[in-house]
Amino acid sequence: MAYKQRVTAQRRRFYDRFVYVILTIVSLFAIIVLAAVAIFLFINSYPAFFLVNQWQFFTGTTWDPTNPIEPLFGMLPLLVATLVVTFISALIAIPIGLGATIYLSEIAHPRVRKVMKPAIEVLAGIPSVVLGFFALTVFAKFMWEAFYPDWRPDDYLNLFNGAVFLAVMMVPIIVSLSEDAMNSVPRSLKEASLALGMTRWETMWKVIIPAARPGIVAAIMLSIGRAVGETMVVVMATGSSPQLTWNPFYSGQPITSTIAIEMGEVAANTAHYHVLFELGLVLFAITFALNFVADYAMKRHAERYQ
Amino acid sequence: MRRKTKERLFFLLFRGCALVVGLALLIIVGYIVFLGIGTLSWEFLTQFPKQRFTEGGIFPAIMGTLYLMALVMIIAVPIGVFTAVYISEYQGSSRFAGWLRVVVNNLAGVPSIVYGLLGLGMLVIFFGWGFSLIASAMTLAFLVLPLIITASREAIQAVPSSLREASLALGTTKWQTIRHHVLPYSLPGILTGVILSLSRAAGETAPILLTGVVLTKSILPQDIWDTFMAMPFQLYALATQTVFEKTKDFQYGTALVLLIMVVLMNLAAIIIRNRYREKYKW
Amino acid sequence: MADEIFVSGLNVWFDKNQALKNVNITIPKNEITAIIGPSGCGKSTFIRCINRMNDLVQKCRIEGKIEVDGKNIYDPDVDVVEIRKRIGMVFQKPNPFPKSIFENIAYAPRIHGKEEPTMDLTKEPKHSKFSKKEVVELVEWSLRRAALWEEVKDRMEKSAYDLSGGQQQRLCIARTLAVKPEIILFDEPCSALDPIATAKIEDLLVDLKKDFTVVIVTHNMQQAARVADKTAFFYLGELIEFGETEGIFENPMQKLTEQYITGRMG
Repeated sequence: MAYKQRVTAQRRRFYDRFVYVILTIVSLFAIIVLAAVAIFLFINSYPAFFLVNQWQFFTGTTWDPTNPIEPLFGMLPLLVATLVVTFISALIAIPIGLGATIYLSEIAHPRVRKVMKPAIEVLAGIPSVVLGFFALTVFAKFMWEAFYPDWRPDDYLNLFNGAVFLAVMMVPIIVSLSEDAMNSVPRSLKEASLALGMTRWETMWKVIIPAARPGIVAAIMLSIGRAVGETMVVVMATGSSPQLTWNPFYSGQPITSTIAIEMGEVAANTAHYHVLFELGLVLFAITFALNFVADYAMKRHAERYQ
Repeated sequence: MRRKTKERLFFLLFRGCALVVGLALLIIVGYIVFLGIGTLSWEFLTQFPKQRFTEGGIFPAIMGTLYLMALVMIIAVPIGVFTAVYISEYQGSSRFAGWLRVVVNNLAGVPSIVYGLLGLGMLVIFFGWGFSLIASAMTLAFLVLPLIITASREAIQAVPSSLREASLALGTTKWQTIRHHVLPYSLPGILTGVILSLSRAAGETAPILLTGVVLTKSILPQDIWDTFMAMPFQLYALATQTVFEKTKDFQYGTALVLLIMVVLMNLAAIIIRNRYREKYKW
Repeated sequence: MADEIFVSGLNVWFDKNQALKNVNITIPKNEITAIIGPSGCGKSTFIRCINRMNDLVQKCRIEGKIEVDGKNIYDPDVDVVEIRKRIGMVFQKPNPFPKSIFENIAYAPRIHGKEEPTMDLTKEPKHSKFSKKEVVELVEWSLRRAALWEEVKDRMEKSAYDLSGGQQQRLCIARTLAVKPEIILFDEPCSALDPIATAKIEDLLVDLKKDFTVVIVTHNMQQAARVADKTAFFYLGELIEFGETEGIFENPMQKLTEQYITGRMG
């Protein structure tokens, strides 16, 4: 009896252990990818530390890398363009996104919700290049001609165009994550508030939203991260003039746009090439930080309702 | 202002927000359909482009996108699903699983252009794969991996632990329980995640921009080391580098075909998810 | 072969809490033994030690011996999976698989296969697969033994979730029987069921003890009084008293037992 058990037991244990080892190895892949991103960005950008004046990189106000006489690698115009475009898109997307979320989770008739939720998911699925195409072909033209002759954007393709469509990309993220956050607030809180005679709006504003706040904050952070990192919309809609401007109706060239456009025209291992990778490193750092904050906010939300 | 009135006002505001979102969707999709519908035809879908994108069709771009999706599926799905199984079933709350979750969340936030840089620096140059279908597919696989892991993990964790207990109490091993119960019951959820990830891969431009896509090629890619055409890049290149009046049919058509492909995949995923919720009402 | 369960010096900790303190008990073969006690007294923990389900809980530490068939089931060379085949468990809330009634029962036997008995202890016993016909017969046998056959024989392909709570629980019992265990553990099997379903299961238990050893955890004292041959009373992780059911209920020796029985505690 003991022998029989021992052999079968050994074989089963071996097999189970084998499966476990295989799964562990496979799971390392994800970690390797993240490490590879950091490593290869770094390897390819560090020559830039020697080839290009770093002080100029971080504080220079002119980006003119192809100038035959004196190439300038000041990234401020690119950073400012990213900031302007992100700021305006957040200004548009956050109120509208949160408003739509509240409508969807608290006010909407169930039949409406059944239609709206998939609609928002479809919106989320529209490829960024298609949005960029729309911005370039339809929206820019509309903005250029709509209010003429009283007003016209300064440039046909400008930062504002990009911002509007970045907002289109941000809204579904905000809606789906905030809705999750609001739904995970225990019903008992909502019922307690209503039972005390508060209106639905007051319950929402004073009880549910504050309770869901960490989750909502995380949703906003993640959508901003998406806006910062988005490439095709800005490439196609904001023009490609790397000038330093805070005016959203001028053309601009955010960081992502710069990398995408100029990488195709650069020779390997030149200073320009390495600086583009360095820009990638900066971008990675920014989105990493935003993700970190979002993660932290999510954890706080989970802690509250566990 | 009376409380009830205040509430009504705010609710109107929120309804307005939702309306704006709905309108945005309708306008964008509507325009693309309206502009592109006239260009669709059997020739458009099955022929190579001719005369600098003024005649013929977008067949190689469609095939290129399909090849990419197939390769991404082969690479990313097994790795993603098994990683999710590992996180949910074998590690539970250990520190390694915690780290893995952080890593996956961060991978999800990496901008697509940065994945493109990774593909360029590591696959094209360092590994020497050159500009190729496989380099682009692998780069896209990196991009969608966190999505597949997250969706699969959620589907797996939704399976109630009472079912796992029941299986184990009958004297079956952990792996048998996973193979016969956990994975089959979470399959619809996993499938939803896979379809959404593939539709994302189909629509991405930045990662393939730097790793292997080209605007014109007279033949389909002969193997995975070949360069290729793809719809997202074609749309981008035509829209930004050609004379609009001459190629506008191709632009509208490419945009529409790409949009239809992606929307169909998204709808399929949504339908599967809804059916699945009906079937497994634990 | 004796199927007594011999428990000696059993101590269980979950993290820093000690859930069971020095439990010593011998559970007899082919009888129904009830484990009673107030909430949190450790009765579920105890029963889960017998088929090593507590192994699945992290931060669970177990000391002591549980001997079945003369062999300590916590010995390192013992195959846990084999233990669970020979010691089955039915849970508090019915947990059938989301499959057909037939598949629910056929699942485990198909995987285990049938063992060909052999006297040659130096060779590993052959496991052969059940033929289709054998599986069908086994499923019918299990359902009959669980008193469910008549009610489901015409809808074996239907989903198990279409059954009522009581039927689902009997399905879970049938599923356990199909694996041909020697001991069956029941963890409050009727607490989620209505009185009629409960009565059916209690009748079933009395029938099962002819061929199996039954251990049942229950918070319902009347149930223990009705079906159990022996009863063990646990309180705060310790075994307070164990003996013939009649004796426990009519003439308890320990004060705590008397207090619980008469309802002055718990």
